[in-house]
This record gives sequence, structure tokens and C-alpha cells, in this order.
Amino acid sequence: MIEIKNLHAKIGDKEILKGINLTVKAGEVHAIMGPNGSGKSTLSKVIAGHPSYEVSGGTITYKINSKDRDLFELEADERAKSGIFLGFQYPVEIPGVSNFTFLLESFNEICKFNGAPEMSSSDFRKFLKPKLELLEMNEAFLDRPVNTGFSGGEKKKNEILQMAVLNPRLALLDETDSGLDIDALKIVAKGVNSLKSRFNATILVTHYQRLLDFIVPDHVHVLYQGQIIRSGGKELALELEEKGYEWLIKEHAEKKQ
Amino acid sequence: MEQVLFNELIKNSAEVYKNTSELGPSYNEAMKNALEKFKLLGIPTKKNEDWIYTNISKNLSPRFFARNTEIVQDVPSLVIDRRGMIIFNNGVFNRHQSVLPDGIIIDQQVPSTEFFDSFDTLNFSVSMSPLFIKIKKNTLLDFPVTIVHLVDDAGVNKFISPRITVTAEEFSKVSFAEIFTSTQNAVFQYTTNSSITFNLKESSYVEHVKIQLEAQASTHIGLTKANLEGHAQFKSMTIDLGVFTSRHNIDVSVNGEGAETHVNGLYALKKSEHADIFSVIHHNAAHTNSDQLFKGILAGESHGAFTGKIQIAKDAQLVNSNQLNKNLMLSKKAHIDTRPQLLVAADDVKCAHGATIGQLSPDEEFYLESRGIKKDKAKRMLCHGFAMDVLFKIENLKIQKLAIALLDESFEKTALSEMTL
Repeated sequence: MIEIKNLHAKIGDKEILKGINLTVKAGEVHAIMGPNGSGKSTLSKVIAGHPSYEVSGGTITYKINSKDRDLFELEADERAKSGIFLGFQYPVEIPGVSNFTFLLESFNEICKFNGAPEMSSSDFRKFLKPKLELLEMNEAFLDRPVNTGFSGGEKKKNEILQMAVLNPRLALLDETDSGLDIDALKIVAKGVNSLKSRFNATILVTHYQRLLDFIVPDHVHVLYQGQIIRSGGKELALELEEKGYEWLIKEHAEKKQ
Repeated sequence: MEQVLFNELIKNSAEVYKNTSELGPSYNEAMKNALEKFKLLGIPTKKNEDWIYTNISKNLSPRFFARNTEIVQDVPSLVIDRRGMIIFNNGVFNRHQSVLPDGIIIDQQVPSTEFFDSFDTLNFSVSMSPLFIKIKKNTLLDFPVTIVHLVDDAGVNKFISPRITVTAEEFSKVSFAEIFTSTQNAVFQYTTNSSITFNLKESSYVEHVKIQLEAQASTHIGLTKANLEGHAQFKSMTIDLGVFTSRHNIDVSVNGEGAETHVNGLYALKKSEHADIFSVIHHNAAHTNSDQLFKGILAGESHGAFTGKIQIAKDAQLVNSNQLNKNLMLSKKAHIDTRPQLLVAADDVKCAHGATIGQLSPDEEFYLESRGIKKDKAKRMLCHGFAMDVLFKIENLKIQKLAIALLDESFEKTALSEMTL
């Protein structure tokens, strides 16, 4: 579905990604782990098209209608319309725009782009109902301004609600577990799991194993200083939980020499 | 220049007094006394501390509208509910067209002796048909009263001087939308100098939403004044949708314990438009609250100014006062001056104030884009949201709806679509 080759990216003069290689197929769940500052969030933002990052090398090819497309040719909104979704670590507050208007606007943009009919307000409310129930969210959420005054947990649930509405092919979830208590984490995980299918893929960015108890990955990658230094199965996450990142970093340093 | 205009206006005032005999001798006497006061005060210049951001005499009209004849025409389309409408044509109260709902009656005309500033003094001294109304005790209106100030071709190049005094008796509750506009907004040029005063008796509630939608080349000067007795609530919203030059004076005195005021507003400016908001809130009693949010969106080469004075008297303990002015700059050439002024004489009060000036945030834009919304639309949505944050404070939903529609029509559709995004 998506193939990242030798990806380099920088913000200002600072190179953050230094040659990332990653292939994700439909139906897979990948976890990207690593210590703070290793470039995990940058990777997900670059894939989603954040304008602050400059891609300085490498390629990302993304399959749209079974054709390989150069992802860098697409603007951020076009990537979203083509099925890429970024769940933000810090969702942005937009006072004055209601959550409902935002969701409807976004949903209809994506429908329009994909040649599907747009939905009316009243139909959209009905469409949202089971999704709100899945995430144990009150309907009153819809009429509040986007993320404004939401608690940390509410913001993260709201991200997953958006994901449920937009039904992406590739979901990038950036530290979705941070700031969540265990109950909220279970609800968020339930939401993500229920959206999984053999047609879509999920990339979880996290530095805790905790989330991976609830959303089980097929592949785990460790990102350090802008490179993937180790890939493995779900057992790698458990090993990291037990031993930390130090042993991998040491091993990586030795290999380099 | 100022002196020439000033002399011409003074000379022209005689025309007004030919048509004011209906007001009775003592009222006429008071008007002429006020004119003498105005002669001493003069037209304010930028040397005056309260006027440093605005050169008001740049485009003032040289004559007063002095005809006291009533015009019969269609009900202005901006009237929200025909059960309550007060129509002024060229500053003159249209008795025949206006409809006062049950519970609101015409009140006795009482001349003013104290004035906010020289323009208020001038307004009183040349306002030919001052309207005094009373909201009777316990009146609760479930529909808004629309006040429309309409200028037609007879008002072109004239000073338009409407004057309204509203007394809200105990336990009454009414929402007003006051709209200033003209029959040809693209063409006309005139000067509005308006004054509206609300006297709120114990436990009364008044919401006042003023919308400045004058002809583009005009000058608008307007005073919104309120005096609050105990437990009264005054909610004021001033919306300026851009004009050649505008000045909004807001003067709220919270005089009784437990009284509360919200003094909010929005200015949305484009091209070379200029708006100056000058707000004063006096806390003269203990246990009083005030809350103020003024937001500005500035596009093109527009210039905005906000002065927010909060004065807390010596004995006004346990006052809560919040003030915030936020500005969104859409262009490098737009300009904003903002000055919060706190004058606190009491020692046990809570006051907060702040001012921000910023641009659209790339993170906010990216958030919307990452949900499939195009960049230019994302920007428009963010501007809209910025404005809605304050317009949602309008309690009467019919007025809120009208305000949102007018903002869309006269600002968002033009300034935001022309914006170099």
C-alpha cells in the first residue's frame, strides 16, 4: 500500500529523518517505537504532508486505485482525500467551528473527491450515531467547537471519531495513547480495532508498549536518530518493554563501527 | 479644514431648529444650550488622548439633515420580526412605519444635560425627533425588536443624528438589534452621529446588538450608553462590518449591586477601512461583574483600534472584570492599535485583561487540510470560526443568525475570497 524508500526530511536546517525504509501492506498493523526525539512524529507528519517539513531525499509511493503514485505530488488535503489519515498527538483547538460542521465538511469533501454523493446534515447525524456509541461519546460533543475545552482523553477520542467517519485506507496514529487513562485507552483501542480490515493499514506511533496490548501489531520498528534500527514482530515490543531501548542503541552503535 | 467645517455646521444648525418646535420650548432651550457646549468642545482631533488613532474630521458631512418629514416606503428587509420594529429615516423617527410591541410604549421626552463627549453633545443639540421608549415592568418579549437606521438619497452628504433613550423597568427582558444602513451602500456618502441610551431598572435585562453596515464611503460615529441598577443585566454587542471611518463609543455604568454587563464586539475590516472602538465600563458598586471580548479581523490595508477602559470606584469591592481583545491579521499591510486601561481604586477586586495580535496558524491550517479540506477553504473556515467565537455570544438566536448572515454577505464573501491566500 505504501512504500517508503530512503526518506530524508528536515525542519529548517535540522535533518530529522535520515534514510527511512518501510513497506506497509493492506491489512497490516505496524508499530513505530523509539525514544523521544527519534523522529517518530516527524515521519507521520511527513507522510500526511505537513508544510513545515522539507523532504530532502527519498521517495514515498502510495497505491491509489491499484496505481503507484508519488505521494509528494499530492497536497495535504489530497492525501487525506486519497485515504491517508493522521491522528494528531496534539489535536488543534478551533474555537467557533462546531465539531459537527467540521466533520460534515471533511466527510463531504472526501465524498466529492471520490465521486460519491454528499450527505445531508440530518443523514450525517444518523450516520454518526453508531460511531459515537462505539467510542462512548455523548452526542453533545458534536455541537461543541472542535477540541475547544476538551480534556486530553476527549481530544484523542475525537481523533478516532474522525477516523471512523473518514474510514481511511492508511491510518497514522501519532501517540494516540499519550494522556489517556486505562479506560479511555481501551475505548480508543476498541475503536481502532473495529475499523481494521484487510483493505486498510494502521501505523501506530508510540513509545509505550501499553497501547500494543490492546492493538496488536504485525510488525514493530524501532526508530532512532532518524533511522529504523530494528524491525521485528510483536514480541520485539515486549522485549523493549522489559529491556528498554539502550541495548538496541548500543548494538546499533557497534554495528556502525 | 476642521474649523471651516465646524463653522459651517454651527451655521447650519439654524435649519434644524426651524423644525423642532414640536419638542416644546424647554427641550428646544436645552438643545441650544447643548450646541453652545459643543461650540466649546469642538470636533476632537488626534491631539485628544481618546482620539489618537482616528482622524475623525477627514470626511464629515457639512450639513445636518434638517427635514422633519416622514417617508412612506417598504419595511426594510433587515427587520427580523414585524411585531417589533423601530424605523429611522435619515435620523428621523418614522412614527407611521414603526411598530412597538405590547409592553413597550413611547415615553416622555426628557432633555439630557450630561453628555459623553462632544459628538453626543452635538447629537442631542441637533436630533430633531429623539425617541424615548419605556419597557414596562415584567415585560418579557420572546421576539427581538429591530431598530433600523436607513439613509436614503435625501441623507446624502448630511449629518444623520438619531437619538434613542430606552428605559427598561423592573424584571423586563428585551433583545434589540440596531442596524445602521443605507439604500445604496455602494454609492452614498454621509455622516451618522447616533446615540442610544439604556436605563436598566432593578433586575431588568437588555440585550443590544449594534450592526454597523453603513454605505462604504460614510463616517459612522455612535454612542451606546447604559446605566444599570441592582441585579440588572446588559449584554452589548457591537459589530462593525467596515466603512470609510467608524468610531464606536461604549459607556456602561454598573451602578447597583449584583448587576452584570457583557460588552462584546467584532470588527471585520478590509481595503482601507478604519474602525475605532472606545469602550468604558464603570463599576460603581460592589459585587458587580463585567466581561468583555472584542475580536478583530483585519484584511487589506485596514486599520483597527481598540481602547478598553475599566474603571472600578473606591467602594466597589468584590468586582469581577474580564477583558480580552484578540486580533487576526490577514495582511501585512493591516494595522491594529490596542490599549487596555485599568483604573482600579478598590482593593479587593478580580480583574483580568489581555490583548493578542496574530495570524492564522499553520498548525490549525494543516489540521483542517489533513481532513481533506483545501488550503483556502481551511483559511476561510478558521477566519469564520474566529468570528463565530464572539458572535455566538449573542443570546437571541434570531439576531445571532442575522449577524452571521450579514458578516458572510459583507465581509467573508468579499474580503476572504479576494484574500491572497
